Amino acid sequence: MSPLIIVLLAAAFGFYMAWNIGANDVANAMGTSVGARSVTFRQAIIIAAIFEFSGAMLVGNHVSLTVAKGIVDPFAYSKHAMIFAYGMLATLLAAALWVNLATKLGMPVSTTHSIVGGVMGFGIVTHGLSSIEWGKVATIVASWVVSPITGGIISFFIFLFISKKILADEKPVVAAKKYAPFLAFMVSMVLVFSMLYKGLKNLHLNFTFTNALLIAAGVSVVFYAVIYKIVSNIPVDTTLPYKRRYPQVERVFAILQVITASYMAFSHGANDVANAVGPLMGAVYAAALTSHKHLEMSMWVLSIGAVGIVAGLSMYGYKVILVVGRKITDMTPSRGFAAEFGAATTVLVCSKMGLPISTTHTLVGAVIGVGLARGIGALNLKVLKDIVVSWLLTLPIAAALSAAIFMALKGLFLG
Amino acid sequence: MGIFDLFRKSPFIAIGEMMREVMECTNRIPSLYDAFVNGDYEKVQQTAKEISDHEYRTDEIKNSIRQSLPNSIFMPVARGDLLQIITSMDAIADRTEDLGVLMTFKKIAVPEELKKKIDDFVKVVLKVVELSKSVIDELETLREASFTGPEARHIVELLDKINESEHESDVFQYDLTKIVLNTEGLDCASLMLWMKIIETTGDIANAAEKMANRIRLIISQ
Repeated sequence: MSPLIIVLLAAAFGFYMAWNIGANDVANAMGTSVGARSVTFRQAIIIAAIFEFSGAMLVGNHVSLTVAKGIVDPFAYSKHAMIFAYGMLATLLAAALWVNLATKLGMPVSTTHSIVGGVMGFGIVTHGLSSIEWGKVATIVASWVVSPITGGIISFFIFLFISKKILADEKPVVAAKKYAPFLAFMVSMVLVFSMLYKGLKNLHLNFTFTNALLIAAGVSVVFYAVIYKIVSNIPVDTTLPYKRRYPQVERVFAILQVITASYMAFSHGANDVANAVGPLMGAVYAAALTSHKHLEMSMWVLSIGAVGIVAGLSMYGYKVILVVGRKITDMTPSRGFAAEFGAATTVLVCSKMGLPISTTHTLVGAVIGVGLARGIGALNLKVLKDIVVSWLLTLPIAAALSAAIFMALKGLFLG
Repeated sequence: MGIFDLFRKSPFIAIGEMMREVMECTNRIPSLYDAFVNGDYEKVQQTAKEISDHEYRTDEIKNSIRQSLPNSIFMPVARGDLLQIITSMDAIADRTEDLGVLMTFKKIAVPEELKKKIDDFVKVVLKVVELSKSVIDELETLREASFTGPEARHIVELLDKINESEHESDVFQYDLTKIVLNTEGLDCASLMLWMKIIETTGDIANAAEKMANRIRLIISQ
């Protein structure tokens, strides 16, 4: 295969993978908002398109590098660049096929696991078990446990705060209006700060810790003021019985949830676009046979991932979100806000630490956290078990698929 | 899609549905008593049949709720508490059905003094059921408010009223029992049947109170 064909194939497979991520994972990222009826299906698509894209483009490179060179060492293949390129192709195709199949079966598998499994499968068939950086794999496995727990704990405390300070208040609407700007400030603070501080690598803006903090605070004050203005227009009718006042509280949270939904989409884009483009990057570099010293993400590679996610989302994600929006009977804006805020924070922080975590895991953890804080009416633990089983299955299946595809490619083109 | 199957409908919504069906039974108690006291045997038969039909429907809802609460469902309230609420609710419908059946057994004498007080007794018992229903109606809102705050305090007030009314119905029950026992010239069958009827009517209020007390336990956790 000529390098050009490899690059084109890698771009196609990378796009296919990104398409599947958009179609599958986006339901997890946006579903809580739609389920709580804070945003409509159409609005969810628009929000997701804008923020997935900007998340991928602005902070999307940290994890990509972990996936591309963390699991197997690309330098080990420097004399066999073609082998490495085929391996990356196999990884992309295997992961995309598995995610596509899983979406069809309704199984919520992690796209991150799929890629990791694919890389491992190819690494094992070429250089044996010893070629795998098991330390890195262990870190990733650990993050599977860490991310749902972290997401769960953060969401637990956010919902506890909401229920103590707002829902349990004698005048819940007044309390909601009082705390809503503060919550908006918090969301904005976490988001803007993590974006500015060592984020935005692609824009080459290097802020110091203090500067990033100051700018984040400035932006968040604006957010505070905007939300303050919006909620102050909501009328307070203290003569209504509590039961009637309650929906007004949720209206305040519906406004906040638009922010967390955007935030969720942003961090999802930042984290998950890497799954699609990490191996694509590797394949491109191997094919170009350039120096392996700097595996930096090119803009065009990131765009393929971002466009793919948005394409998958608008073509297939619409259907998925629709199912989700009807199925969740028990999401309210206050609960959705707590779960999304917790999950998005976890995803963003972990993604900045270079840990390829899964949005699905984190959101599952966050939802359970809200449930434990007495928020959710009922959680189906059997489904939870099935989800965990599908998480465990993903690695071996993706690995086997990738190994098989790699052998086929090698047989066809290298004899 | 996978992770969203994690959510289940709140069991309190189904419980509210069941309570409405239970009320279909208890709402017929006044006309049942009326027909019985006035000796309208046919009307008694018919009303008893209606109650029995609604009781059957209550059982169906009860079973479907029980089936949807396996151990693999995590809820913000103890599973045992919910099952106890459903069982007590079922008992309200059951005892109402029993009452209807008892009244179809035999035409019996109605002591004059009993006639005067029986309406008030029925009213108090129904008040207990009515109050319990309003508590059940608030459960979903209570859950949305995480079982705390003004909504919880409001429900505790309702629960206090239930306990009060149930006590009132107990007093009536003793009163009526005394009247029946002290009525001169009452035949054995009438005596026995009246004792049964009064006891069963009182049990309806007891079951409603038992249900309310379970809800108090949930709030006080």
